[in-house]
Amino acid sequence: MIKNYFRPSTIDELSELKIKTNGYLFSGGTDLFVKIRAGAINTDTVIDTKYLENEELKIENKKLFIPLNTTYTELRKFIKANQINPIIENIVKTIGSPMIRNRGTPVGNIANASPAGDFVLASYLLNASVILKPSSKKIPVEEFIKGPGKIELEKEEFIYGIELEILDDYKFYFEKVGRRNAMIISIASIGLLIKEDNEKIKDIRIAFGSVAPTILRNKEIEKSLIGEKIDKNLFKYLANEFFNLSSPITDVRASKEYRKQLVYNLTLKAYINLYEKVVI
Amino acid sequence: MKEVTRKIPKKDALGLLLGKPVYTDDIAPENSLIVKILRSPHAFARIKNIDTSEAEKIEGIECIITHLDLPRNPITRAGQGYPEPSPHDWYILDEYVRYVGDEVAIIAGKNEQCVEEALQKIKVEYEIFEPVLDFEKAEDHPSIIHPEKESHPMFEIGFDAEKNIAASYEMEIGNIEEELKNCDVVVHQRYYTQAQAHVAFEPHTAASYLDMHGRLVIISSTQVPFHVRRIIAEAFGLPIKDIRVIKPRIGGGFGGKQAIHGEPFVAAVTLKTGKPAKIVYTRQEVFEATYTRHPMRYDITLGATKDGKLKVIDMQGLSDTGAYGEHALTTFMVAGSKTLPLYNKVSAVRFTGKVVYTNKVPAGAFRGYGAIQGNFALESTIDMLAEKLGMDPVEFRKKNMIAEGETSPIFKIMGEGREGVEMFVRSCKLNECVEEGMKLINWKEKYPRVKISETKIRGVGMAIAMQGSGIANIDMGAAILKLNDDGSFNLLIGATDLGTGSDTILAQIAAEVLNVPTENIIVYSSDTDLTPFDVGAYASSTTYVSGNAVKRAAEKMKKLIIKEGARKLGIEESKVDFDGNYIYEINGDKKLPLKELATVLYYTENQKQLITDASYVGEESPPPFMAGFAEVEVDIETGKVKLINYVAVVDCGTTINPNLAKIQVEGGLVQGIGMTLFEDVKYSPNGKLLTNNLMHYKIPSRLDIGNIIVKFAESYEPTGPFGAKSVAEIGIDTPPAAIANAIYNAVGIRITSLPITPEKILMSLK
Repeated sequence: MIKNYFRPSTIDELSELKIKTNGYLFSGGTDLFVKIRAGAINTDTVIDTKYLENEELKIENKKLFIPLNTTYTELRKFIKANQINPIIENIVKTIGSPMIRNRGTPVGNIANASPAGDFVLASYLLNASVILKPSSKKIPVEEFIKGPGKIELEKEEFIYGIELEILDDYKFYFEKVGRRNAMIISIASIGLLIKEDNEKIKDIRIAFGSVAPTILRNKEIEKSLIGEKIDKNLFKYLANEFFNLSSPITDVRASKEYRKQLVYNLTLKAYINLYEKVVI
Repeated sequence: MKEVTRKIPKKDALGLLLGKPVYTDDIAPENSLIVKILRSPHAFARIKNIDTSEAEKIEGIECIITHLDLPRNPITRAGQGYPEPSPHDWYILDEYVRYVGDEVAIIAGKNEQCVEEALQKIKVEYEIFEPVLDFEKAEDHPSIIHPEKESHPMFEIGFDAEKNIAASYEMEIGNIEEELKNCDVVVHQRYYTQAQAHVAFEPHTAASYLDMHGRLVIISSTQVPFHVRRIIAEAFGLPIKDIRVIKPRIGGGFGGKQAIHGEPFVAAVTLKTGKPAKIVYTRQEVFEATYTRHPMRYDITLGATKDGKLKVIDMQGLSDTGAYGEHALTTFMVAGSKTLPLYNKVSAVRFTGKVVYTNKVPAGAFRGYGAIQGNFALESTIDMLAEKLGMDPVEFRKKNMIAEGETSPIFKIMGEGREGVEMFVRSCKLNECVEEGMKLINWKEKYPRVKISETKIRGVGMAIAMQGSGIANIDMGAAILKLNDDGSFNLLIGATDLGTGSDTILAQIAAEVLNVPTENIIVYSSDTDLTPFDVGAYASSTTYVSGNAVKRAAEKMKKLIIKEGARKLGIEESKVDFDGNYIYEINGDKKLPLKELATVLYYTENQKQLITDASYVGEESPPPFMAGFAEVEVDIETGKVKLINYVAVVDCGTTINPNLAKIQVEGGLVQGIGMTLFEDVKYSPNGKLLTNNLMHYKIPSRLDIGNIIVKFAESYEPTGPFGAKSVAEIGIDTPPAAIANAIYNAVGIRITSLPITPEKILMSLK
């Protein structure tokens, strides 16, 4: 049961409270309160970050800065207004329900560090950095997230915001497979970004959710593909590589065998949808 | 017809929309003690010792009740007829716990917090036994789930507790083995269905208090108030007269509330403390500790001659009733009795099998019970047989299915828990349903498949189904009509409106007879002190059984009005009629407004209360029929199935209120679609239900069910009220087979276990 509720307004106050109370930070609370109710988190203290005086969503030096407390709904509006990174819209619109998106935040998704986190997948694809306060450290997301629910955070630190690259002229594909069409947690998901140059790869980024302890992305494979011709064989090669790299678990949603098969099939599906799609 | 077939909103719709406090939790006495249950963490164990001393010291705790404090009368929680066809194998609390979630102790206190705290402080020592978790290994398992001597059946149901068998059944007409020899084509297939959850919006809730006379009053979210009264009396050894059960508005039941659940626990607290008490189940408790659908296994063998005549149906089943045997036999038999008559021209038919106990969440009643499991197995195999014969599955069905005026020996042989009744089907528009459904889905263009792209293929599939309308010669409903001084009427019925709208359609039936607006009928239902008996809302009985009772009561009222009106007018009764407004001379000018008659009868002349009553027991149980057509799109890269269209054409006789009939069918379809495609049930290896919340247990959202198209065939059932049959369950039966058949027609994969998940499809495609 929650007995203590705090509402800090400055970075230092928040940091001190965190050390002193060992309380859980929350903004939307869409995950935290569900977990508390289910008994998965046992705490009597919560710290509400919504009253912190923090910066706004902004674009700076070709980077998108998303501070804590920004909701998915606010992010969608911003992206639409500024016409950047359309893949984010594709990903974010599948998260939860409208009610969840009105409360839930991208920063909260990063903090949860779930391999099924849809925004976590987006942050991997867009080479995100996590900005911590009060230390002002800036850590690449794949270094910040250590495993399911595990993040690199000192006792006094909290996530202040995330910074994502803004990409122009990329083709993209996102799909998440769940047990139904709305309000789902992914069984497996894929995000793909490709920049072409004369039918050849100039840059490629490919990431999978829910098929490993963290989001699965491999920069070495990506680098080795630069200059390659885009065709089905190349994607068959990729599908095979990621089939082998993936290490999913069997849980209440699906078996590991099915998840591995999805890694293979979704890679080819991304290709077909981007390059061979027949519209009927 | 003026009032019947009127599409009026439900009588309670506005009040519910305005959020009026009308549910059990809203109207429970404000000072009710909060009741919670300590539940077993073990699938099978004996309680060696319970230490409640620490918990009792907590401020606010009023009482903690264990099995040592209560009478140990074996009962069944299932509310269905008397003597019940379910074994008496349940005790309010017992020294044995038989599934994870079984009740160990009842705790009551002044508020949630102290009760929650007390739950943590009770120390229980268990002797843990090896649980029976696989229903295919339950029979003759070394662990006996009901070793106690007191448990017993009420009559012969094939109960054998020592072998973990709750019930068994067999019947055979003709000689299966001999007839199979004469068949040109024989198919055999095994099927599994899962323990679907009801997911009624309102969790199980009950409250109790003592009235000024010391009688026990129970307010409950129940489908069966009269059964609750009888079962609680039996469990506590109380006289029935000392108990009153009231059902207020309830937020859905679907069979999950056709039983006692929280009632005995609040009653135990009120009886012990003299204080009001209430229990509101958490969603997790609803999942883990109420009821599920009976998981079943069926082996189907069908035989036909090459001219497309179905000759043999053999259904061998195994049903899992979980820790207690509620509805064990009846659910199982319905899998035969509500499917086999569909194909009434066979030479041999057999239905056999057992219902076994396991250490899992008990199974109980659930909309379409037995029928949906049987329909999935039989109607999937019919498609396999048609394919082997090289016939269109629709043509095969049309050639072999039942038609109006025909009968089936099954009607007589298989009832619910006992013999049924002989019956000729007086109304059956199955052929029209199939024809219309083919048109609406565009079968001729779309069967069997249409390729949308290299990786997306659409297929169509179908199934036919039947239900019943109450249980013949068992289910009784009664009604009372009372004339008020302004010419309005009170309709008092035992029938139980679960949100279905039965209060409204029963008022429409009375209004039609009396030729008055439905708005002039004031309905009060489901209160064992104030309304006449009714078995309650189950077995698709209310429209037909209670509806016929209401119709009869209204006909008597009309006669009484004519009699008293004639007397007031001073004319012979035979020369007078009543048109809803006036009692008038048939061949003359004299007339008397009903309102005037009603007022003088109360206050001035020939004073009396006009009141009539009627009861009805069906001599038959006329089946509603339907044809369901599914169009699916299978993504062969992910195995995902998108349901594009579902067409249901239903013969339920006259639709008393077409809007309410339509939403009954739609709701049934959606629940059937959920069971088919989404609602997966998983247990941990030690017997804990893992899919115990709405995060893991996926019911379909609006985005998952595609277009639902519901049409009604023109039909009139001569024995029904104004031609009506039932409509509550029929909608749920066809989706499993129709969707499985559509998936097969799309991609050539036959999934034989529910739910049909993307995983099963993709792994089969590989």
